[in-house]
Amino acid sequence: MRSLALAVTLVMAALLLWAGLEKARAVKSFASVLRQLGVPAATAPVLARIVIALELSAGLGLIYSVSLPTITAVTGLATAFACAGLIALRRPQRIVCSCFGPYGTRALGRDQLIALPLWLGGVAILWSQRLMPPMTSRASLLAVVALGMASMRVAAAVHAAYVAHGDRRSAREMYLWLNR
Amino acid sequence: MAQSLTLAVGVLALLIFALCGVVIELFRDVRQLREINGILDRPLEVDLEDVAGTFPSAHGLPTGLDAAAAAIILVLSDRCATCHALAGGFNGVLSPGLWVVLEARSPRSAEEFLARYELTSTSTGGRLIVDVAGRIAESIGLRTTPVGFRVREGRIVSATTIPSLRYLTSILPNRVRLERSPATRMKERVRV
Repeated sequence: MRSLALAVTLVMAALLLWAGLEKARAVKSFASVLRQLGVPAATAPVLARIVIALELSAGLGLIYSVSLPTITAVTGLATAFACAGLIALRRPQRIVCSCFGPYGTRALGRDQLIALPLWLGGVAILWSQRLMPPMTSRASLLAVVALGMASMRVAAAVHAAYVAHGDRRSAREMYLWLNR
Repeated sequence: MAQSLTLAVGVLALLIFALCGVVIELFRDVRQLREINGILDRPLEVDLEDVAGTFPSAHGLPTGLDAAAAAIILVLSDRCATCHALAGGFNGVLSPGLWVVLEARSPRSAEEFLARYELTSTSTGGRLIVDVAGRIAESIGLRTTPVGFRVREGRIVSATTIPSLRYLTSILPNRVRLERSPATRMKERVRV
């Protein structure tokens, strides 16, 4: 059970940190999604920053101390995401979810509703176990989460570089064809 | 000390995560710019008129093509720059299902072209045709290169310009083969 709790901690922390860091890189894009959900234009940028701060704090909180405020923050965020999904489903236009950055293509709605019971289940497991590893282990946990995230990102960057190399070559050949 | 180092590793990894995100975003922006400029694999369909549905051999192409289930006939010219880029990408070997017709000004220019890109009748599996007099192109009514003709069940069905090697690779017929070990095949033979 402790291993399961550890795995849940790692996954939930990674998801929250990933989402928070990606949104922090493109606050305007996230604020635009909030506006589409009906948040007033003046409030959207402020709310966007609050959500980002909450995600990052909750992600770090899961690693450093599974306390009541952390659990409350995670539950609150999951509920807020599900509510956003519900609102998006009721809107006539498709709202693109910028949950994990500005380049997301999935629509906001069903995914967030499906994720809610998973988040709550994860929170229940963490609360029942309440892992309190020593400080050195917590630093290691952060390193594991961060290295996992960085590895996935590096793999994506290498893939993007490979595709760009093909694009560069294709563009060069196409240029020759256009300038005949 | 160990704790500080581990923490530093974690923070640096998060920094790498953020930086790689920026790099990926830049790659996407560049791709968008290329797409807007229309310089990414933009092929044009060639109107075949009465050439559609004819046998390749009717235009002076090898009769072996009349029996091909699926093939691409790529017409290159020694005078077009993209043709040189495409030929350079073959690395002396033609992919399965690809036939190349080289339209050349003279036998000498054809030889130079083939030598430059290490294309020989052996390395290309006999799927290289040199059209010095322009007989094939004239029979088809071809005025532009590089152009790829799609052959299905021994007949020419359509044609497109080939702006890049990547586009050519994407339209090549893919053969799907069963991967069975020789031992399995032997067993079946014994049973029979």
